[in-house]
Amino acid sequence: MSEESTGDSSSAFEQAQGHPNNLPDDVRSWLEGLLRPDERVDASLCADLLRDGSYGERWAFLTPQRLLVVAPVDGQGAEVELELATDQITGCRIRDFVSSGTLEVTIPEQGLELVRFTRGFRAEAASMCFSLEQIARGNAQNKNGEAAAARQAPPRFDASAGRCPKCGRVLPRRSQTCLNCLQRGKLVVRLFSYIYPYRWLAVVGLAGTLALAALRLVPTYLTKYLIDDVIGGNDLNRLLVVIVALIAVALGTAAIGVGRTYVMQLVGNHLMYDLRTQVFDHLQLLTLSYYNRHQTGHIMARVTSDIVRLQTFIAEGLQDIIVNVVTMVLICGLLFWLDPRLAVIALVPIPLITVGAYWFGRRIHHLYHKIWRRMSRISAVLADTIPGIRVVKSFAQEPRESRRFEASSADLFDQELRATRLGSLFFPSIGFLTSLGSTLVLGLGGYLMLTQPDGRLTLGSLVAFLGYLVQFYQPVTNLGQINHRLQNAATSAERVFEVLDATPEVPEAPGATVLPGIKGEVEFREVRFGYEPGRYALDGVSFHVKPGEMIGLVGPSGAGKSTLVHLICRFYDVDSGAILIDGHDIRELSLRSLREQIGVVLQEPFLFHGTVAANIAYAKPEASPEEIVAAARAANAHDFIMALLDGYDTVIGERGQTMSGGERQRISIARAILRDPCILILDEATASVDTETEVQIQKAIERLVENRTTFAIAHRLSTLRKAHRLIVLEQGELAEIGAHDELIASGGLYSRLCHMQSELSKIRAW
Amino acid sequence: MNPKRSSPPLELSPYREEILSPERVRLRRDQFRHLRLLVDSEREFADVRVAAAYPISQRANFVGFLGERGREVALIRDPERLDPESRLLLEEELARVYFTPCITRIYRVEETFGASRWEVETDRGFTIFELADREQIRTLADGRILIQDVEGTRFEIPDPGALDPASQAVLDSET
Repeated sequence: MSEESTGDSSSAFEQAQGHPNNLPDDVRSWLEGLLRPDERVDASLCADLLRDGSYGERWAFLTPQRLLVVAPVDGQGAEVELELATDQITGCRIRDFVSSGTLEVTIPEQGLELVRFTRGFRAEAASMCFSLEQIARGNAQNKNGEAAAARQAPPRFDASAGRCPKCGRVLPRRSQTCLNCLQRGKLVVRLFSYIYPYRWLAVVGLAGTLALAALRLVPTYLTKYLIDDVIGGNDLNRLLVVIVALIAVALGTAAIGVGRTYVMQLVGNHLMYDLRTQVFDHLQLLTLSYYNRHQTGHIMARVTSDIVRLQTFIAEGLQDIIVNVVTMVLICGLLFWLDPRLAVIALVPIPLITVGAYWFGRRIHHLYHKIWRRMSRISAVLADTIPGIRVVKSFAQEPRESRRFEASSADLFDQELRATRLGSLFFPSIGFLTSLGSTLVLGLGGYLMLTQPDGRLTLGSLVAFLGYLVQFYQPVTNLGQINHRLQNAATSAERVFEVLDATPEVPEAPGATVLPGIKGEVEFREVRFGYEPGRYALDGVSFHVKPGEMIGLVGPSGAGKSTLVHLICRFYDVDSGAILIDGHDIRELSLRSLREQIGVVLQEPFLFHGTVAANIAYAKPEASPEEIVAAARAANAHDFIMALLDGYDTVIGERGQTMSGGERQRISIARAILRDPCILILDEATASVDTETEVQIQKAIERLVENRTTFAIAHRLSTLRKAHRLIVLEQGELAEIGAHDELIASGGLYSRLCHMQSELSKIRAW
Repeated sequence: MNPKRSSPPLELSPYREEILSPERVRLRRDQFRHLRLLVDSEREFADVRVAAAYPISQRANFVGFLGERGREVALIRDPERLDPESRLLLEEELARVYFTPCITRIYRVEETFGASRWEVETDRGFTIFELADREQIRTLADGRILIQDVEGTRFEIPDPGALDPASQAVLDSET
């Protein structure tokens, strides 16, 4: 690490990352006073709680000789609160609590609390703890006279994923890009890039919109003409002309209106279609971790409702804005042209209307959000109660559920009422302001006409003026609320683009090799992987599996069995170490060619809406009917399929709810058999079925595992009796590996589990 | 390939079937800062972790002590009847484990696209926290409000009605 400062370009967020060369300037200045000459800081940690649990800053610094805990003193300087020689350190641990944590070190015969911190500081603390543990290990080795292992740099403990990597601001939920860092202009440009293919349509629509805005102004002007020149001039011929012109304008307005609406909807729908398709295609590419982070409902909402909101904005909102602005400017010009004195008077209520509309927009926006949240609470009650109606009824809890619903409903009612009150206050107030404007104009206009009968102001002008005035106040009111419409659309646009911008997290290496037909040799080399920073789900696991070998994965829940098979499929990338298939690092293979070699049978088989045959042939759509039948036979599924009225053409309902668990499982095994993979993964494939079905599935599986490298996870160890070797995992570490007999003989965890299960089996046959 | 030896079988605590009365247990902290639980003056469990059974609704009433691999070794009720030393120690530990600043005043809430940044005064001092959305604010049946920020730190508003009007107005528009 270089000694030079990172300069001003590093944000406060980067500075908080605990890297010694990222220290804030004030810390740097008092730190120099505390260090001995030539003493350098290897690691630093900023914590935000004092020992008594109140907020306050504490710093911990690790130098080659010392561990310091420092309390900054108000203003300048700092005091050393605790000082330890590093060679005293024998251990270190983080204790995680609900909202906070503490970092503790042990020295011979004593434990000390170094610092307390709230959760935001955990990643830094984990990094410091890593360094301290290494020192402790080194100290222990020194004591035993061993050569100390070289120190490693702490692994990157990512700060929480919910923050913008650039500015450190919190990202809105279900969002991965920071709206603050994103230039608003870029968003618009990007949105326009989707309109671009339909630009001529959009131009036609816009022209229609503008024409419409202009046409709407004509009748009022014709009225002036009618009053001043036709009626005033007693000219019947011209009356006819005016009437015909009015009809023509009305016809034109209607015709353009129809065309414009159609064209703009066309553009909007095209756009929506393009985005929807693109978003869906992209979603297929994203990794499982993306799906872990986002709830299915929210992902679905982006494909549907957010895109609809965008369409509405483009087809209607954008136009509204343009029409409003154009109308306002045109009318404003007309008003001044008709009579500048009246126009000035007419503008008097405008500031009030604008401010009022802005205020109203903000309040109603808030209220709508509140209403929306209450509605989703009501749907939550529904989603809870209706699927659980059997439970509700069997415990006779209907009245309670009714009360619960009533409470949410009453809450919604209150908020709706508030919105109604606000609306009923606002619109009449605006009405009052506009009539006030009209009245002022009428008053001054009347006065001018009475006192200056030969003046410029004619009766027709006054009438036209009043007509325009009504048309003028409307866009002003609309524009006052525009900010919120823009915000909503921007949020939707952002959510949609954010899906498109989410990069697949297991990127394909440039020039990834295509895995040829493989033998199925699998090797784990010191594999480390964690879903959360600092907590490994797999911690340094190494083993080697020969082609065609069946491996049983055993261990308590949470030991890392499923994680291990996910890593083989490369749903996630390892944090360190490597996984090799036939000697190739799986990160260097193309994902498609890797996954084509792997077949997976899950505990909860997922069947798609479609026929039985289509489900079996899911991974090999070109399979012949003979192949499908053969696969179903091998999976022990043929008999029950033939018993169905429509045989292989039976349509399976959504998620296969119409079939029993065992039937669904056998269909998914047939799917795996048809795929003919070299590596087979059975993740608790028989956990959710009865004993008889299990026997049938077991037979199907035995046929399936022949000559394939198989990883089988099972809690019922009987399922694994055919396994060549067993891998026993415990808390992310490899506890035991070996054949059944060896492990029984060694008397470890596996033999204990076996013993417990055979005790159980005395009661329940398996 | 040198797998670590699996851990020896875990011997379960004999007190797992009952809820102990506090008179039967004593707590102390050893020099390594680990809590030790002594039951009936005969069994001592080292390095226990305290866990309230109802940390939100009645934190102080049922307290469990978790031992090796997170298995509970004992559960007690009414810990206020513990001997004074143990009680003090337990309270200190509970305060640590369930550290939850109580918000006493809301200065301002700044919102951008659904995410919000709160500047508040708490009984532990001034702090700033951030929420990704309003679903992180939970109103409990008894009227208390629990807030969990993006980092997972919890805040509580024990009685929203007792806040000053300005804070209440801010809170009202956020819930």
